[in-house]
Amino acid sequence: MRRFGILRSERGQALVEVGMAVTLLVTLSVGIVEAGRAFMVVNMISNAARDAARTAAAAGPSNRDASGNISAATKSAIQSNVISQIAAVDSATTISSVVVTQAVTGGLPSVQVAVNGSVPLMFHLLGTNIPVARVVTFRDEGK
Amino acid sequence: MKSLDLIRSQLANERGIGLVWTALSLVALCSLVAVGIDVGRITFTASEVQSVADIAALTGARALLDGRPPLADATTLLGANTIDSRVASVAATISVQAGSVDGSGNFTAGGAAANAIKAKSVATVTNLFAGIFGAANGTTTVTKTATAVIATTANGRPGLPLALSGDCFTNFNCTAGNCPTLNTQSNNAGWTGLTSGHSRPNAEQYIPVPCGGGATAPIINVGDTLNATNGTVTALFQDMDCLVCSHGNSGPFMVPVVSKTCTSGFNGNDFSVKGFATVVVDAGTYCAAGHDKKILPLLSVRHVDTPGSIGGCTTCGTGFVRLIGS
Repeated sequence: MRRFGILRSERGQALVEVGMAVTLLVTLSVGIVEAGRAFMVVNMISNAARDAARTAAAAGPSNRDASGNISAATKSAIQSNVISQIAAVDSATTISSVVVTQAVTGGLPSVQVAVNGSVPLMFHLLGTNIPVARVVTFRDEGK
Repeated sequence: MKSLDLIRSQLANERGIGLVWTALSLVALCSLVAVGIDVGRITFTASEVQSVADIAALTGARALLDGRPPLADATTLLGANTIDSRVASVAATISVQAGSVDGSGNFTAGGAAANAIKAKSVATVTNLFAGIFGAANGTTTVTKTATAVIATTANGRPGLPLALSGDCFTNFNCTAGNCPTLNTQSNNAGWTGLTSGHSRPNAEQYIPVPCGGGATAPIINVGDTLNATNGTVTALFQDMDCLVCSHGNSGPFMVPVVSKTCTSGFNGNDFSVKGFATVVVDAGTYCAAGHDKKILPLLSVRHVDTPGSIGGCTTCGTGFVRLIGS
């Protein structure tokens, strides 16, 4: 009986090894999915901020007052557009603010769009969400 | 006993083989993941670098309209943008090239009258993992280009019965000595009745009230033909004196820009409209005591209006700047 004790002690070793490997692989896979999705949404927010800034910068006379200030309706439309663009990609992502600001940057009239939001994580490996803040500044074409 | 020893020996040799394979597989998998993360990060940064090139090109093209230095303006705006969470003007090397874009969107560098800016943005991305796995260096250089062109408006309703000769301009915002001056010797601006010849009554009807007829001008399109002549008509100058000096209306007025060499006069000929400019009368000079009212100094200025076709008019000052690609 003792002869087979050696074999008995190694029973299940492969199962343990496979268990460890599967755990690592699943963790890695979940991490890849989590990071990839978060990456995509963050990229989408960046693109939406850029599009919004360009739209604001190129707003024509009918979307501005006599001084070239972008109308409140146009700003509101830009804000809604950013939110709907993100919602179309990931409805779980929260856009807390889209701020369109006309300013003077280094002597040049400029339009700045700041988008703030939060990307929720699915598996909570790295927390529950990732805060995102994107700011894009264009030369204001209307001034 | 011998056979049991053999089995024992063989089993002992294979102990942990699964672990070894798992370790090797994990190393390979982690390497792939690392490469994936680096490539993803480079791609993400590349989109930021492209955005910076776009902003530089658009800002540079607008600077052409404003008579400002394109590179300096582009650098100023990039100071308010970021690449990889760093200030873009620091994170990237920006260069701009002035040139012209034809109606087909082809960019040609250089030339006297630039209507486009081609911008190049070069940034270095520090890889997170590539260096660990034996890459030659831990950085990747990302280069992106963008071209922005001044798009003249495609049509408009002129505010004065004037036509400008585009070839007489080298800049959208004219500087002293480069602005059109309507007088008997001028080749750069002429009276026109727009779609109705160049006779005095036909032109005068489009001068704003109370000094002219105040008629609503027809919509003129790029490619239309206008008939124009030099500024010899005294009555029209009297109207302008009334408008500018007596009623303080010096513009801005949108006027058509026509294809005509600057070495010859208008002389009552037909010319093709190539775009539009927006001008104001230099009231300070025009209304000064002793100034000959038959010499009408103009200040050419840019004006934002509905964007139209790209390129084709390197000397028009009315329209938008827009991106046309890399």
